[in-house]
Amino acid sequence: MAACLQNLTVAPRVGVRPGWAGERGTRAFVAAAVALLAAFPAFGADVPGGGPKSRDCVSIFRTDATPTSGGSSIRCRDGDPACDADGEVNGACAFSVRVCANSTRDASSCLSPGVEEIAVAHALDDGDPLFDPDFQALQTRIEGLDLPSTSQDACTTASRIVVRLEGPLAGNRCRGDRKTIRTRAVSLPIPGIGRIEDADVLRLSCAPAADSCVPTTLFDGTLDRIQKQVFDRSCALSGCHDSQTRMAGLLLEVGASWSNLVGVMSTNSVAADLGWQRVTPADGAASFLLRKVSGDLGAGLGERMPYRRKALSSRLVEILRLWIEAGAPASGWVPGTED
Amino acid sequence: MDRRRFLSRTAGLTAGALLGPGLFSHRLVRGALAAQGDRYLVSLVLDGGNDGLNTIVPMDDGAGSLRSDYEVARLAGSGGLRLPVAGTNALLPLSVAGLSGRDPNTGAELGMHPGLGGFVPGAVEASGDPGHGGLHALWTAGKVAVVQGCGFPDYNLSHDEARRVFHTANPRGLASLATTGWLGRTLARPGAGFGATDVPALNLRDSVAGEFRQHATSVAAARRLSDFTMPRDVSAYSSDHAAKLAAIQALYAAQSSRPGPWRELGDAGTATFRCMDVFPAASRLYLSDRSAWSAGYDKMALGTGRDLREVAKAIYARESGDEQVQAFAFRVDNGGYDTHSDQGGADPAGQHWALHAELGASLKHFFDDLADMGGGVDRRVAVVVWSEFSRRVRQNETGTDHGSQGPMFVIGGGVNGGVYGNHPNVAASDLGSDGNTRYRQGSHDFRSTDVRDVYGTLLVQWLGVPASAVLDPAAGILRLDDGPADARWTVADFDLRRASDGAPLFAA
Amino acid sequence: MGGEATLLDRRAARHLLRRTGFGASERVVDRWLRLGTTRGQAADELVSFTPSGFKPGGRSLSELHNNWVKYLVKARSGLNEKLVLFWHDHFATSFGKVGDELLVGRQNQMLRKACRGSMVDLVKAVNRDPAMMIFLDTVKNSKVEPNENYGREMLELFTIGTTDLDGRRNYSDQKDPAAIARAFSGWGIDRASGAAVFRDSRHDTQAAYPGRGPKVLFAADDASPQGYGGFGPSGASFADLGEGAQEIDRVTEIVFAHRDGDGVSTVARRTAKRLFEFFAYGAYRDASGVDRGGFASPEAGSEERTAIDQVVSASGFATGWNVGALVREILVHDAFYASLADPARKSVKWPVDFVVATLKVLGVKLMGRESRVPGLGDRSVYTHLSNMGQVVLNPPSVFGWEWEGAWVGSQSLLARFGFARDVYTARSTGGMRPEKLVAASLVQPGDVVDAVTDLLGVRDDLSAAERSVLVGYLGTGPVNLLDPVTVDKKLRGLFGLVLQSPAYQLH
Repeated sequence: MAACLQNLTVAPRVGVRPGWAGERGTRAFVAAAVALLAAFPAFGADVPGGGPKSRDCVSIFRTDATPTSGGSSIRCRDGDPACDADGEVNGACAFSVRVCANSTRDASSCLSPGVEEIAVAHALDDGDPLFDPDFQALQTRIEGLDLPSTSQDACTTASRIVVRLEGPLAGNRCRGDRKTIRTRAVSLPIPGIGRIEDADVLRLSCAPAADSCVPTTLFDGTLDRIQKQVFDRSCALSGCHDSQTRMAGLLLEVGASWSNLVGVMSTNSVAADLGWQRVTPADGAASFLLRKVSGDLGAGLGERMPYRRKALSSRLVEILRLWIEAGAPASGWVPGTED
Repeated sequence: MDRRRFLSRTAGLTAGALLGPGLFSHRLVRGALAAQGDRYLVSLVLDGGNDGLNTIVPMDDGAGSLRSDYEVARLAGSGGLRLPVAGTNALLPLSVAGLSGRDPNTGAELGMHPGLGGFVPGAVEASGDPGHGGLHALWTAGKVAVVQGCGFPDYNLSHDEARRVFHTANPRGLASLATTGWLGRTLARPGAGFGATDVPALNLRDSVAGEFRQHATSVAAARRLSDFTMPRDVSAYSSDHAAKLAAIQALYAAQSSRPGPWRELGDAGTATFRCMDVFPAASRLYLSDRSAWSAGYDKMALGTGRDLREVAKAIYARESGDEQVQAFAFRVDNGGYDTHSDQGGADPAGQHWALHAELGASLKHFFDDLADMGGGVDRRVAVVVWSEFSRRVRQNETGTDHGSQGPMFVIGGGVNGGVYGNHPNVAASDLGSDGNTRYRQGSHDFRSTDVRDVYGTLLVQWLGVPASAVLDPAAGILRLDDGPADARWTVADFDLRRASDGAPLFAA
Repeated sequence: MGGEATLLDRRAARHLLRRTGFGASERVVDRWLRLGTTRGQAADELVSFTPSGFKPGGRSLSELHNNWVKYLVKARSGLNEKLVLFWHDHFATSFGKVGDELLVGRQNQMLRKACRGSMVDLVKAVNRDPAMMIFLDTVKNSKVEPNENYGREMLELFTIGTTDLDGRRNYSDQKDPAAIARAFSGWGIDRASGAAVFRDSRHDTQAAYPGRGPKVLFAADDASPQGYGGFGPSGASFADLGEGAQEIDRVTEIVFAHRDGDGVSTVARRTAKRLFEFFAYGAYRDASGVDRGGFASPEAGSEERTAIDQVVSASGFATGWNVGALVREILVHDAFYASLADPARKSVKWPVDFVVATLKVLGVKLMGRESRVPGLGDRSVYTHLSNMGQVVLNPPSVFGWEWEGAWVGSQSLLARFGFARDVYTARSTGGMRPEKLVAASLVQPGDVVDAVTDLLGVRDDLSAAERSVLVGYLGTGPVNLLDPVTVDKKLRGLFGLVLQSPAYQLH
């Protein structure tokens, strides 16, 4: 009896395709119209993002840059106008990425009748340690597609995914870095088959330009350098010292970090009893921040920071120390931190 | 609108097992709705925290330093969010013929984010396009109240906590107000006239929003009016669907005389089946009578526009004489405002622009649609736009983090358009330790507007409901500050007034 | 009328199993009936479970949620999990504020292990539970800035409640939450281990804060010159064993010594009342339409108050504080079985009970990483429960969920209909196999209806009119359950109708 039921509920597979083919004329027309209207920035390359061809049409990436041949990676050098949307040597590559639903790139092998949803991984600020606000921004643009949708080649506006170089490190070198965008798209149900899923990946890597790693070019001053090189990278992360979590009442996002640190008594009671402020201007030994990142901690003072991550390099700890010893100014360059 | 035509078209849909309890509460509901002048209220949330400082923006310093302070916090150049006062995609000035667009406190000229002009690339561009002109066109027509600096005393920067305060109107965490929403209490208050099987409110989302929580009456929630159908088996058994639906309705109708939870379930079921009878029919009526307007929403292809079309459908059905449609309060969500990154400034391809353009164009087309329905219904609909918080004054590299007070909008033909409340003080030296604007600012004359002031004004001036019945001053909610009475951050008697001439929020 | 020696009949056995677990296993019912089991013997068997060590894990709320729901389906002891749900609602802690999967999972495991042991120990454990300390701001409470949040909820929600059964206040709202804040000052979390730690430097001492007065609870105030809880006008000192880390437990012991005016333990009475409302019935409108606001509310009859005092006394709960013993006395009491005779005392199933019992009884499997319910909607069980208004591990507030009528608004009812639809249309892997649940030999529509309503536990609750509606759906002639179309359309449809029926929303 079970076999009979199977036959009853599974529609013949051929039922899917004729409707698709029969409408192609109209669809092509619609696609052309969309392309015309959305033509203001030039379309770059399509990146199917991996997985079987029959599913690629659900969702693909579209970038202004050219991916490595056949792959789903883009490698860029900081400032290269072909891939870095800001076009400046500024310690970061800004990749321009769109997500397109119902791609007609390879419609002949496509099964999907339309897209129900597209989710970007790590786009939800719910304490996910891999949360990335750039991914959240991409997800917001996807919401703008007004899914579910059967419109062909429905693309988001271009989202900027910024990959910041790590550094400057000792000797003013910068190290390349990368981000990986993962999307999971679900089709509308296909009669007799159900929904199909298209999981896509796009790897974006940024490499430094030659002799580009100069602090005075990359940053406005010492605090800005500390903000971008230390706080943004290692502290103001989801689930830590960011808006939503504000661990230990400490907010290390730009615009809040200085007033959250300088002259503010530590919430750790042992540190408070010792009279240590988070940053005691001109007194590194009495600055809890410096002790936390250097690991110079006694009983009751908690863990080294960044919490359960790689320790800051000795150069960065030194920059923090110099900044504090110089009175922790909110702007300007402290000697010894600009090179 | 021809009422007879409506009835003939929907005959057979409104008849059935529901007429018993439906008719019983019917007169009461009619009375309740008439008592508030057949007015509608739409609560529209910009979820995630809208950057208020880039929504209503100082264009000059006035007598203070607002624009200069703004330019310190919001940068020019790549990743910068500064909105220019002139040139391409400049701020849209609030000072237009017949309207003052000045900040009451500093006299600074204010502008609106250019995206609120409703420019959606590829969809809303030319003057004939639906939604063209966006919120700024509604402002120019005098239909928009900008209420600056709205919020509550202590933000902890969490989305959930801030949403909870906006939903419950309960920043102090009073137990008596903790589990109900401010609009829920409005529907459930003694004498409101809504029974358990009535459906006076509709949420265009998957679940009932916190602001509608209560237990006296039914609040419906669905993405589309046409979703109010019995979830069905595959289409091959469509004839059986009707048989199942008849059976399940009979099972719920059988509970009306049984005790305890049976009756309660019966009522909830009856309300649910009422929605199934009424809402899909309202949707069909609108689509057939107003197909050109409906096509406008499709052309815009904006999520908020499509949600507002559902509101328009419910309103149109009621205005056409379908007394089974009781919904007068609505909730619409526009998400994606948590712009930590890649927020975008004066750039039509930017994220914040797209969100604002969606909001602006959608509202414009919605009000054009209402105005075209006739009967002055556009004067009887008020949309209140809010967000759980604004964003950090100082921008980060390409976006903004969680903030505090921000502007609200109250929009409608019955609104006295203009500027209400003060722009927050964004001078770096006056910010709180989290880098956000403060609710209270000591010696400064930057008074915030408490969100309860806005709610209270809506209750008193728009719905004719005593604010005390909902905001519960007996529980201490009005004691906002321990300081002297004149330093309290609340408007006397929930009576927001336009800064330029003292006019009330709503025209009489 | 009966008592613990009353023999269980089939209805009573099913009722007992449904309330103490998720759906009734006919295997257990048959065994009890075969052996001639009394209420007492059955209750002893149920209460004697070995607490499980399960801890929900995951990287997000939905994963945590789904992992617990999956465990609810397969848990060896349903009562163990029902008690975890009870305490989870009682000591409501929301992921939304705590934001830490590990701490929320650990709290859940703690409740599972401690759920039927000593309630004093349980409250002591909750007092220093890291997730709770974040949720109710104990971590922010210090000698310099006292935070009364936890102290207030400990009294109002976790132990004695605001008032006794007659509406008399149990504590001073001005003084007692503040006093508890003093006792708990200094407690916080060690970030490295996630464990509770006491920091003496943050602890409030009488010497440092003479202005705050002596460290006492339940002393007299303007509203009650004789004090509260039978301790006299000067109250009870929680610094009597010295100041410091021990105060937190002294406070708990004093709160548990609180007495109503007639000398009966306040905590014992209130806990018994809550457990009766959870296992038996709570607020309802009686046959004459009178609104009865909870078990033994002022509007209720005296028999409910008697029931409370009887189970407290029989279990020795007011001295031994053994939750298992108290639950056992409730499960043999007439009040627990009252809904068998009086349909007004039925209770609305919690969404999680509705979902888990359905999955269990019909053998439906949750599929894949996202725990999708197989069927036309293909949605995760998190989405279903969220639509119904109950995301476990994320209650809406410290007040927990609202029970009974609050579960069945228009939206949540539609959500239940949608879940039922997904279940009855689930023809793919993991879905319901109706042909395996109902004997193919049945021919009469009435017999098929009886079989299905029996399986889903609502047969006895249906009125004749309701039964005839279901029979009418199947048609007048004989039913051929060997015909796959009939099974796929009508038998599945009948399951759908019963799952969506008013009776199935109650238990």
